[in-house]
Amino acid sequence: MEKDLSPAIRRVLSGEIEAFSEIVEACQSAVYNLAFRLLEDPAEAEDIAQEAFLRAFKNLSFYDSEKPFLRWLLAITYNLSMDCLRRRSREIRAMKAFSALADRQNRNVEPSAMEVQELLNRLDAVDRAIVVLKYWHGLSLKEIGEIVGLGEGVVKVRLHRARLRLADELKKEGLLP
Amino acid sequence: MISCEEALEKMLEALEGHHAPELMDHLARCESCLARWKCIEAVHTLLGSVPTLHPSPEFKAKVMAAVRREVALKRAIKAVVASPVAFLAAVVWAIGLATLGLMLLDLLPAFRILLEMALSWLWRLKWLAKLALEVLLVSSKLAFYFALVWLMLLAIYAKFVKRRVQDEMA
Repeated sequence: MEKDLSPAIRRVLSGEIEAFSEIVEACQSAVYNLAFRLLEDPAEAEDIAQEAFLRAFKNLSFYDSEKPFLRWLLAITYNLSMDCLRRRSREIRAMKAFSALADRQNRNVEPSAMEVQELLNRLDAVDRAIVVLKYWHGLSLKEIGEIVGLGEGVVKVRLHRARLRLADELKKEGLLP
Repeated sequence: MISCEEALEKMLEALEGHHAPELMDHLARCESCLARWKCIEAVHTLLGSVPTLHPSPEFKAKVMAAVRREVALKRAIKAVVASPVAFLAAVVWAIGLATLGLMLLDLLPAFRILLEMALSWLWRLKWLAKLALEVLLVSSKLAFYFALVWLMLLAIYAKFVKRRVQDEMA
């Protein structure tokens, strides 16, 4: 259940900057999680998450209060992450993935979580975002479509295709019979 | 009994929480669909079980520091822009632009000829054309000096803005 952030948003808009920390507190895990799942690198994910919050702060007056705030924030995070991925070359991505793996090992992330991230990395960025928004953020296909800029039907097809691809990968790894 | 294509559609609906009895009937009779369902269900369960990652403990402080910097910068720029120096600079800037425009007019002889032709065509206003061209000629000579002064004032103003912003940030 998404926390009602409208009082905090109103306070920020009226000039009480410190109220923005409530928004950061409530949304930081969701934003970081999406950035990390897309970028595979904890440091870069934090930078992107920070940039997303800063951009949200700068454009808060343009936010449509009729829509959920977190979805708007996730859309900003998604766009920033995709820009970041486009800037990166393949070699750098591979290097980052390697260092991210080492970092996760240092952070003692559960093996199953690591395995899933490794599997997710085999999907393309948009499919990865769709899977993350579906499973980690529990968004509907329509809401996901609004964030990634695709129609509901296309999201449905891509999600299904991603699941099948992940099932294939699990079979290859011997994790499925 | 539903077809395999329909069963696949029902599988996707089942993942969304809408279980159809006809899917179960189909799966009981179709081995390939049952295998496919097991795979999809396994992926669904696996993805659903992975915990959410959290940023570092100092993340919130970092974001708030960036937000405060942004606000301080905005305030500093607002204060500088609203100052009398800014007003003066804007006036100088406008004069500079105008003189630059006049200079460009003088540098385009073709334009001058066209202008002269157009004005002389109105033979009654020929004296006005001559006067206008004279004004253009004189002002263009002054334009270069105006532009120099403008650039110097702009440089001084930029230094002033930079110092004000640095003070605000500190």
